[in-house]
Amino acid sequence: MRRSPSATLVAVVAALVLASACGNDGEDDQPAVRQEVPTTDGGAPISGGTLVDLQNFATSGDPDHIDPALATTVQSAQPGHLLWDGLTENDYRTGELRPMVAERWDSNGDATVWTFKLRPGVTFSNGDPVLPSDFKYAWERVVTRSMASSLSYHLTDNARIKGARAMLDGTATELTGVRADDANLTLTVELEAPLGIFPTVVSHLVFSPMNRRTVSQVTDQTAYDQGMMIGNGPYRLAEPWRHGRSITLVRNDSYWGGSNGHKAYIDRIEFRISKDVNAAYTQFESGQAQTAYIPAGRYADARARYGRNISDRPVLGVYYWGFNMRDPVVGGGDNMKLRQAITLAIDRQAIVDAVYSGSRKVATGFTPPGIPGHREALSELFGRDLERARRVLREWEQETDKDASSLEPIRLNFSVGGGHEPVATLIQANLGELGIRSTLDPRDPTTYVSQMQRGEGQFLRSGWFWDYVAYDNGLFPVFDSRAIGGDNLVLHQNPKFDAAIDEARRQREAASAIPIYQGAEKMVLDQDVVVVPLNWYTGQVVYASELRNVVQGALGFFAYDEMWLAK
Amino acid sequence: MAGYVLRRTLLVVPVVWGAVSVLFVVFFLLPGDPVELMSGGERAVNAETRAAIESKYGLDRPWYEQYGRFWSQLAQGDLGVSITQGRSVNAILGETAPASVRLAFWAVVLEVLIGVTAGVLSAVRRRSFVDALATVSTTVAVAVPVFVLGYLLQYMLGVYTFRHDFPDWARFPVQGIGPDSWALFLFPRGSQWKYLVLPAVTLASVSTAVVARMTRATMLEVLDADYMRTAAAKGLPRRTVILKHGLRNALVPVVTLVGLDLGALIGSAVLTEAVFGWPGMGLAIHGAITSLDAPIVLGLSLVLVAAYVVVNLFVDLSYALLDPRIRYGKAGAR
Repeated sequence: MRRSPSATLVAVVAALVLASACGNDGEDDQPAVRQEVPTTDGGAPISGGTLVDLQNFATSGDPDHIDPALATTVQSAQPGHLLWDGLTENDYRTGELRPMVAERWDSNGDATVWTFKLRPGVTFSNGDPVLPSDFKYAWERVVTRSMASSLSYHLTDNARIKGARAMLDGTATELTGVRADDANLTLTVELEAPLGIFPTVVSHLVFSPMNRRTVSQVTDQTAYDQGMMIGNGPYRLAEPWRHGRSITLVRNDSYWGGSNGHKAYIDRIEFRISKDVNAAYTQFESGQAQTAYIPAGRYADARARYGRNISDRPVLGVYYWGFNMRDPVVGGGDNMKLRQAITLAIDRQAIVDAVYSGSRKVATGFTPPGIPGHREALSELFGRDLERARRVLREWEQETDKDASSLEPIRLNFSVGGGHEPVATLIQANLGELGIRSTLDPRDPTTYVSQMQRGEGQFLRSGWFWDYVAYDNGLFPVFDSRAIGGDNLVLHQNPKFDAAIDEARRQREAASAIPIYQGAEKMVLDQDVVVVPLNWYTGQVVYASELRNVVQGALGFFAYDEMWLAK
Repeated sequence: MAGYVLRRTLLVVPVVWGAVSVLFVVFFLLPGDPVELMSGGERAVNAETRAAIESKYGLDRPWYEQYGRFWSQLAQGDLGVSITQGRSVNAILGETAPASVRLAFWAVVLEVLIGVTAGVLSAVRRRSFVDALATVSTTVAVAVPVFVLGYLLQYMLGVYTFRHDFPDWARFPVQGIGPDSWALFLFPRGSQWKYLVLPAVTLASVSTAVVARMTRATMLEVLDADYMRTAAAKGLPRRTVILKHGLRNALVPVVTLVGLDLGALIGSAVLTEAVFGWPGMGLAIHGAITSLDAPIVLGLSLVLVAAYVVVNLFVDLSYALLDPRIRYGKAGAR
């Protein structure tokens, strides 16, 4: 999942211009500000009203798709989260896994076969019951070859549902691993390998049920989101998506109540679509919306003006720089202490302050807070310690008989246009303090991932957004050797690490898997020293004071169905 | 005359073919991978997914096959299917083109009304206060970038008026096309005008200044012409002399400019469209270029090029109306 990099760039440029154009708007306007009244989340919920949202599509423009099977970005999946309920969900506040359409679930001994018992009486907004076969139909739709969905990896690679890959290849027309028993409301799913977090995986929007009766009427399935999609969530579409203009939802009055046992409070939600984060913020400032994304460079200003009405909790994403573990200069076991020295020299706090105006959280490990099992300061290499860095660098020089200052300059790889250059420059300065020379090596953003997959990087920038609120979803894709050629861009390969992941995946209970995952993370951070996590992404959304009970889930989604508008 | 029009109309074909072919080639030469971008550009794509996407959109075919398919579809009026959005480019054109045409039309109306008036006034009252004011204000308008002006207007008429409790008529929406409700295609209905004013003014600003300056320069030339003195000597009122004899003759280069501008504003109002969230073609093409969505870029550009050629044809034809000495299609008539 991503925030559009071009939006960020535009925001930076525009913020600079704006700062000079109408810089100190604070002083003369103080008295009439209405939105700075601190929010109190208390009080009884009130039904009614229209919410105009500018934090979602008013920065990135028209999404490509809003169909759960095709929505690849956080933004494009946001409406879907209000339109659909899956088998399970993560509590927006605690991150804890809760039953939704599935009442309960269980697995066999090695977590390869999962059975979900569905709640009776749950319906789509058109009145049809939600049945196990609606899930099977929806999942098959995702891996149908002609659907060409970029999200099929959830079924083929992450969950590894039996038969998913064959459907995507075009060699099968049925998802053989899924059995839907509508009469008994049970859905049985067979996986190719153990996966203890499968109930969490199915909380992802891509696993939402689809109303076969209406969906199958559409000739071109990729165009389903052009019309009136039918979901089973707290909201329904008010009208078809108005491209470049808005996506509007209204409360689903036939909603069963969800895990919190109530229908949505706000009558109508309008997601306005535009492409300029500064203009959207201006519109919020002119009282024409209830939420907006804070443009780069205006975070401090927004803090001063809107006080507590800012949602800036971490959104399960980490910004990191990693070492190409196959690179002769920085990779491999021999150079572990060189990597350690570099890790200890980088000033994470200075980067957060200088580049992100202090808005992001300095990372003390790879796995962000919000993931069950997250431990503060998990890595002992967290924190800048120049003295220790120099000491381990000298040890490395002695052990390898090399001279740090005579190394070829280390290449700092990043994709152009993502706003990474200032970070690279600061890292360069930090390495300079150790006497290590480095050079910026920016790459074409459209093929950056495949360049890194081919091992062209040396010390390379990347980021990871979690798809599910699960420890595994960060560690496996980024560090497991089976994800090389995938998202393991650092080409890390350690059989002990892979074995730990397998061990954790065999655990049927989340609690027993957590210590194993923590150990695996310590392995990559402190023993192998593969990546330097710099910071955790935060939400950075400002909202009007009349919006109450504001909850942004760990994955970045707003639970508008839990909020209400004060009169 | 009819022959001339026919010849000029047929010229659309090679111009469009050339422009689109160049774009097509550029797209194949550009580095970049639309499939990688589709999954966010930060994530790996597995081989099966890549194969499915490439075969669905024909990206696995050699370039000449894709090129041929583009034209054979076009012959049936089909602009193709967007790779990122999975829907018809015709539909995208249908959504964005009207918004672009409306915005460009009103920008050009403002540009002509204000620009020509300012130009004439400052030429007639040369070196007066009016002239100085027009010169200074047009210089400023040219110098201020579109997005700065856009933000300033938004701030002054949106945020400031809101914070200081101005009456409703002084508060303007700063984002989006609003209700999107129009009479006779071009005329805003109901509260629609409020959404139109700021972007139209912003888009018009730069060209208005150019129109004013050009009108002033050509007017000054015309004012010195013999026929102007003759007209004045005949005892015609000054107003008639300036508007009928002077302005009409001075307008030929101005009309050229405005015509070219109308063509350009339809497709290249990207900045204004972005700042005001106006869902036009410029923004759509810009987005498609960043996501390497060739069908949208090719399809919309094709329409823009064709429209540009047609607008130009009308500009050329209008010369004859303005200046009776200009005749088309008859060799040696001049």
